[in-house]
Amino acid sequence: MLRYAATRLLGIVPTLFLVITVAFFVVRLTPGGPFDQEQTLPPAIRANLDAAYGLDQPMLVQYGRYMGGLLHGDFGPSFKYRDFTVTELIRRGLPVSLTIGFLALLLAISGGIAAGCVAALRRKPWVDPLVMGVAVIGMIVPVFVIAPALQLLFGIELGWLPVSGWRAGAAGDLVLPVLTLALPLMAYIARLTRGSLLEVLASNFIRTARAKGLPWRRVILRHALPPALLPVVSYLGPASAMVLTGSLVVEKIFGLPGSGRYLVEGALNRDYTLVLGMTVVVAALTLTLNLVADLIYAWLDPRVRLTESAPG
Amino acid sequence: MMSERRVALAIPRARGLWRDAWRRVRGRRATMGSVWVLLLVTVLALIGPFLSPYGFDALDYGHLLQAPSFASRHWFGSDDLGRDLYLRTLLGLRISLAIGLLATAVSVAIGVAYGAVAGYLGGRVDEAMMRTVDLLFALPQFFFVLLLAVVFDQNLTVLFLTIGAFGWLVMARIVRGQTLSLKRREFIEAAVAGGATTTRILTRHIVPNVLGPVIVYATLTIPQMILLESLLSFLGLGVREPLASLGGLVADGAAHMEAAPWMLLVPGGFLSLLLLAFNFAGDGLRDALDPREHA
Repeated sequence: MLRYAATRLLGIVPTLFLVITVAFFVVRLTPGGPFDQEQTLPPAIRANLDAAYGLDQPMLVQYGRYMGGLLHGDFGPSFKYRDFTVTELIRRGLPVSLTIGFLALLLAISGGIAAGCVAALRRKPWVDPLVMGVAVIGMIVPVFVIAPALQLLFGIELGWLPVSGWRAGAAGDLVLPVLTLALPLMAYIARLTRGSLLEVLASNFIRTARAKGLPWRRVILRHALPPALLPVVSYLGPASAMVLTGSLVVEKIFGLPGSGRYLVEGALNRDYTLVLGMTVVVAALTLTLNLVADLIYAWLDPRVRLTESAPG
Repeated sequence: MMSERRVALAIPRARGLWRDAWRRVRGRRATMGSVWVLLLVTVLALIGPFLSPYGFDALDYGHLLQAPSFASRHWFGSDDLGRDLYLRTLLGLRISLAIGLLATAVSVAIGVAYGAVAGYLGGRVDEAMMRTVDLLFALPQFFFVLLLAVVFDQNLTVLFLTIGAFGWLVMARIVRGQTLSLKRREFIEAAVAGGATTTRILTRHIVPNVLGPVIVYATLTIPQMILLESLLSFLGLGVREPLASLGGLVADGAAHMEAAPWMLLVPGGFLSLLLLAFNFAGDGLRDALDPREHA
């Protein structure tokens, strides 16, 4: 297991290196610098600005500098928020994004599995179509349509929750963003759970377990659910990527000071270093979360780690 | 005489795969409903704009934030600048549909070519190509679309291409899988024996035979592309003013929803309807064309 984890962890490094390199050159090799949008500057000032940000150096030197900076966590200066470095902006926004992301993931997993089980074990005939109908809508209707609709309903019409804002993580401010972020994932996880649970319940070992007289609850919890949840575990990687993407929208709609909002503002302002830095952070985060999901999977399913870490 | 008739009846007319599929699609209410919705929406998007007396960027100062009404001829209401929401929604539908179709075409072209080459050549090439796909899968693709949208300054053509360039991964996997099973069949062997070049085998024998699953998955790709574009536009990084796609209209609507909820509900409703219809139609088509389910 440890060896499998180490191999996979080492696999991330070249991938991340490649991603950063591609992203860097995509940003830098295209025409137009960060100072082109504003009024034309006198050449002398322009030259000084370029020199101050190292833009007068050859491309490879700039690349070397950027990579060197990244090694000790320096993402360079922000071109628009002149008083901040990209690192400071990331350090400021990331905790907010991670808080809502983590809570949303937790809610999506627990809620999705519960809903999927309820649908699969339908005690009443109308439960299954109802849960699955809601799940389809939750999956397909975009987050940025659902979120304002929820604001309208709970924030304005009913007045139960704040419409938007962030008061250092007051619980009320978290409810709608987390719910919105979790909804599509919860819907997908519910569908996954339902499908695979139904499949497992039809298999022979479940019949055996029932035949030897185990109580139904125990059959479900100890025998059926663990194998049925494997697809859910392998979905955790893509799910975390979805949470990161979704948080862009959710932070914008609910006015949260997270990294997603900095990224969108950076993109609107053509703040190349900020967008580049955020992309790097998000790529690293996604790769790590994918790895964690794979490790959990390998831990649950010995077939994976035994075949993949075998020599040759 | 009687026996002749009986013989004629006993031999059913041969039905091809497509005929069979069409029969199955027609039998499903949800699928047929979705197809009708899509047809209606398309016709509305194409013809509807000509019915309105307004221009899509004309400002009607007499009717700012007008609620939907027949009297003002703002059938879906108007926005904070007095622009007609009916027209803007329909034009947004046009843009969403166009981007959905074009971006899907781009992603189908890349995915089919990539998957067919990887599957047919096999060996190391296949290994390397599919590893690349795995790698791209693990990345948060939306952030790269965003990066490219910024770098290329939200150019509409580039937008089609970049969005399309991110939808081909699943398509490549599907086509590769199909190609792997096709290439061991006799007719490919016959083509090889007959001296056909690799290019010819790929274009004339492999690609035509994987079209079924390709079409099904393409139908399911369209809503993803539409969603991706609206997401960009919602964030202000997609289609630019004065044009607006549905995502941009939803963003405007969210900003004014307290005073003018129709600004949110009309484009949001159309976008959701479009996505639901495409997804249901694609699912229905998949079930109809998948022989395993109906063996």
